Amino acid sequence: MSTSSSSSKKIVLKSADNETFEIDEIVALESQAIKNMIEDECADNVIPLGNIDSKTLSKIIEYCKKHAESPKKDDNADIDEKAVEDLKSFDAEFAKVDMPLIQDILMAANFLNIDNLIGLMCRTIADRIKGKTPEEIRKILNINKNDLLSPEQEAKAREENSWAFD
Amino acid sequence: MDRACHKAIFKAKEDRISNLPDEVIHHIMSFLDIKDSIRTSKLSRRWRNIWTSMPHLNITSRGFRMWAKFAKFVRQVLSHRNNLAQVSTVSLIFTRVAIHAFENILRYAYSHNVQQLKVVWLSEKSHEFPQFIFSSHTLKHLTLVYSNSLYSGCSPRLPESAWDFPALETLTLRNIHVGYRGDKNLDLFSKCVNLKNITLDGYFSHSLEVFNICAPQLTNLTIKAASFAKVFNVVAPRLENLKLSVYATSRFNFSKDDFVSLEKVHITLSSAYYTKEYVPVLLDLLQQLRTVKFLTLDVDVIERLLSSLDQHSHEPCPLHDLRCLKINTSHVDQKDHTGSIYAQIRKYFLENSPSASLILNLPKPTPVHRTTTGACCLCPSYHNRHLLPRVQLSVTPVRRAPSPVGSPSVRISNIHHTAGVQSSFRPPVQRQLSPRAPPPPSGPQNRMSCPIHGTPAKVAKLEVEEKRMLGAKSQMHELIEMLMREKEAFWQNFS
Repeated sequence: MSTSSSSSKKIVLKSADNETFEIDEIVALESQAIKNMIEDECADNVIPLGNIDSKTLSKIIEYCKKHAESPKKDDNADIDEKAVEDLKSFDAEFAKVDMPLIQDILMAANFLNIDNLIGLMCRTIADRIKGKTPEEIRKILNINKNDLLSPEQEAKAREENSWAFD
Repeated sequence: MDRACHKAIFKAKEDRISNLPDEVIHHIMSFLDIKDSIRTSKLSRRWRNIWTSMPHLNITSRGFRMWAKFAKFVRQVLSHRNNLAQVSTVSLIFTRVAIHAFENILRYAYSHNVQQLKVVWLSEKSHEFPQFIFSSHTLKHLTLVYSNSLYSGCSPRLPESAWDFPALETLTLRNIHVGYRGDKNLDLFSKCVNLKNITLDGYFSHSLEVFNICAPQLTNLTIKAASFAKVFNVVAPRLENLKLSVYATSRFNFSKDDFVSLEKVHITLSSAYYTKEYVPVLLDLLQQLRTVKFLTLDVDVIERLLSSLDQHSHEPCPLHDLRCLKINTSHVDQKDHTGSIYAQIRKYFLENSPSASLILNLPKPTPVHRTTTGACCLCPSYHNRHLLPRVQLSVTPVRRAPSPVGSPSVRISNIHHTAGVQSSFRPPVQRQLSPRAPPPPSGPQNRMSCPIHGTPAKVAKLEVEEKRMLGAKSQMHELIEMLMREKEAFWQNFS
């Protein structure tokens, strides 16, 4: 696959705050949603992404670029191993961001349908809430305070689920 | 609308995660133990019942002090779940005492169309896997792991009539004992017509004569065992990747049709116990796998083959479409790799594939990958001097030495030492480098570059590697001395 920028087709993405990003089509194809748009020929020159801000979008492009450039599994075994290792450490570094950004990326990845990135963000969130109390998780995930269980509901829930919380 | 959206995005303290669809939250839960998932029911009204329909069940009996408590926990989980929700993936870690609870989980999963099942078995007592788990029309991926390698004989037993998994694509068995009932001929996979990946890593009973793998869709096959059936019959016309550990008294028969799509093969020896007995097995394998494009051989495989070529050469090498030969030395003790061995390898293996590249894979932790399309063979003494030990040593485990007292548990065999190496059994500090290797660089005049592709930086790197190897070597010498002393003591006692 070619990643040379001179020959390949370009796609322009426009973030919610009106910033535009020109990327190679091959990078954009990491998103199943954009891929479908291109295949159905309903992608104009500029694809507006009204629910993704520029900070999140640039992160997502960084991710897609790396994954699009990474050699696919049809070469030598050596390259496979090295490429897998390389991608792994890239992913680990990529996920070292604060929770609000992780949630933004997850939402955007879900919207754009980028499977690997959804998985990476879900795993990162899971790692951060593993073994934590509900109170701690609420804080980490910034759970909506207007949606908390009422004291009665909570008592009922505790009774119902006491088997799980011992 | 656009503006509203815009506003919503930049509202900093919003609870975005709760707005995501259930399936994304289930995806998060797939990385959590089930207890953590259930705990999220307390977060908010939104989260209250999400766990009850998650398609992943990750359950372990570890952390439960009493099995009765665990059994109760499992009953509760299953009764609180939304019965309409499918179960796609189940991951279980369990001990024998919890067997009934686990059977309940598995029955539930099987009745809810499970597609992926991984069971890790942590018990020291032998037990049979429940028969019903070997029949499912939805299961696509099955992994069974026995994690206590010290008690291999207690590995859980598998049923030995054909398994009924018409949808199964991936099968992985680790540390599992196959053929314990004394059957002579096993054909477990005949009904698994969709198998694409098989990994068998465990024990085949010594009484087993034939193990059949007939899988028309198979692309990846790994067989790595500590004991083997006498014959493995493999019918896999679409095979692409093959990893085999071979054993001297065990044969592989691949179907006669050529492998049109065979790409990569990796061959290792299962035991260092035999030497020349391996040769016919290996030659036969190469003949059958002659269309391979990327071949990886452990260095001890190479040694067995080359030693035989010395005696009764020259059957031409059957490999004719090789693009890359990789030699793996990473798992074995360092041996004498001089230039001649590379020349021999090149001459034999690449005879009919002259454009193939030859890669030497050195031990970790500082792997140096060097592609030698001829180049390094020209200056082997320079490039390979850090590999030295002049002593070819193989320490082979002995089954049980018939000895009275203080019998050593290992035996040294085949110590060949070359001239100028008598000193190797002196303490390592006094060791001289063999005359065949260039003297160690002591001054700037010695820090010359390899005429072909060395640079001072590369030389420095090689020197670091050399130091590391010398360190390892001195440890080996201490070990040798210890073993020699033990051997002497043994003979004294014996006489």
